[in-house]
Amino acid sequence: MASLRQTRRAEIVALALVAVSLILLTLPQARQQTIARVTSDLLLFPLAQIRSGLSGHWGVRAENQRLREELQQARQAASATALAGRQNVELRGLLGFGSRQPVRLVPARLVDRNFATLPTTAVLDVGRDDGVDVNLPVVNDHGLIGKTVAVGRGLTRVMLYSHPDFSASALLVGGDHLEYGIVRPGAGGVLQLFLPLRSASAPGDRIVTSGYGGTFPRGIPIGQVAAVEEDARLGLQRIDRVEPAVDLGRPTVVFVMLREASPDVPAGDQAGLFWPGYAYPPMTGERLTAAAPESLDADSTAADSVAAGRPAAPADTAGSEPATARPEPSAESE
Amino acid sequence: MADVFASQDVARGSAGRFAVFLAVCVVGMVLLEEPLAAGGAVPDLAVIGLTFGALRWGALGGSILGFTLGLFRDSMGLSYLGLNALGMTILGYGLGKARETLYLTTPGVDFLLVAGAKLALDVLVLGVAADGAWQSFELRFFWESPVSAIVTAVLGALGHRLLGRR
Repeated sequence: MASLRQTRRAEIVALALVAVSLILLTLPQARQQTIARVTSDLLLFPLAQIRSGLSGHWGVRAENQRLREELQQARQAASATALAGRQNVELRGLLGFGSRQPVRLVPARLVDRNFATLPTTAVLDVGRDDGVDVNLPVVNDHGLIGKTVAVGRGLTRVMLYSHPDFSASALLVGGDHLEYGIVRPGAGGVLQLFLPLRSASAPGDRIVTSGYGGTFPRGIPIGQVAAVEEDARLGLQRIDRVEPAVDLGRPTVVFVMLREASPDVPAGDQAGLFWPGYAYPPMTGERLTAAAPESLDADSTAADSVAAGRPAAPADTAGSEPATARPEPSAESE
Repeated sequence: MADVFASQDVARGSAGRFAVFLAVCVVGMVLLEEPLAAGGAVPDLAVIGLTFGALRWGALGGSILGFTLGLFRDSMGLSYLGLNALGMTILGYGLGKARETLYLTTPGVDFLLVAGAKLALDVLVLGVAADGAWQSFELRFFWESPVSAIVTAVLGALGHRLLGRR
């Protein structure tokens, strides 16, 4: 009996509570909100305060995370913009550069670069179909990059100036003197200029290709003298450290400089090559003979000559061109 | 794990410990549900407290507890005041009545009761709150509710064993 009464009481209470709930549910929205707010303030105020504080904390964490993601996205966008800007500047420079040269330049994209330690070779997206051949200079608007060594139909491999086998006959253009030497990379890829012992050179002197050696025409900038040193072992020659004109890490677009004459004719003096800031005298009066290095290995041969303490320039031209000469003012004004 | 769900008599236990358990549920309902939520799965501490409270106190106590907890929950929102109170009153009454008929010593019965209570409450609350937008109801009830029910049941069964029993 008592159990039945309890059951009845439970049912009545439950029904009453359900009725109250339904009444609350059917109240107008504004009234519901008022009651909810009052109930909340009365019953849940302390907990609500703690909850609000914790929600704020969690909210800050979530916002922090969101802001981090946004920052990351913004950094990526900025990086892409900077890259596009750099490419834009590079392409603008090349646009003006190519149109001013007296030789035909084939523009090419650097599609691959060997970055094992220091870039020493690269691949261009041009080939025989574009008129590219082996042993042609590869340049950009800053100067010499390397030379072509293997050519396919649509791809060309380039030996960069940092390659251990690379060498080029060089002309040092000082304030009032000219010196002939050989440029080749030393230990760690540092570019070095080998000069006869009594040569005059000073930091800041500009270095261009000399036109001897058969591959590079005269006047392509190689760099400038960064530090003057003597051969520590034998004291027979000067070995200047060269600051290259081209940072090999930067170019994405380059030019292959085509040879207008037959490939058998050395590049020699190509009148009118122009790079801002690099003035050099033409090979006026100099004559290339059979004794002049014509083969592609000639640069290396000449380098070896310098390394052995002999004059770097070919024997017949060394006599015809004074070891010291003043660059022509007209070339300077270019 | 099997031992965890091998429930003893879930309706018994120390009154003091059960009060602590219930207090944790009420406070946790306000403070802990948000941080304990993982994805769409939100543990319902009010349902946990209601289930074990109703099993302990029967239909009368369950109804009152359900109404109180429901009103607490309703007062935290700004719409449908009385909806949770209604649902939890009915649930409290039903669970209290179930105490008289269920074999509460069956292993895992508390787990099933909590999960069932959570699903039953969600049918009512989500159904009314959907206000005719059945796609929203389906999405929430068939995807969020089952996971929430499992999380709630696991948390409730474990919590009750840790805090609510003698």
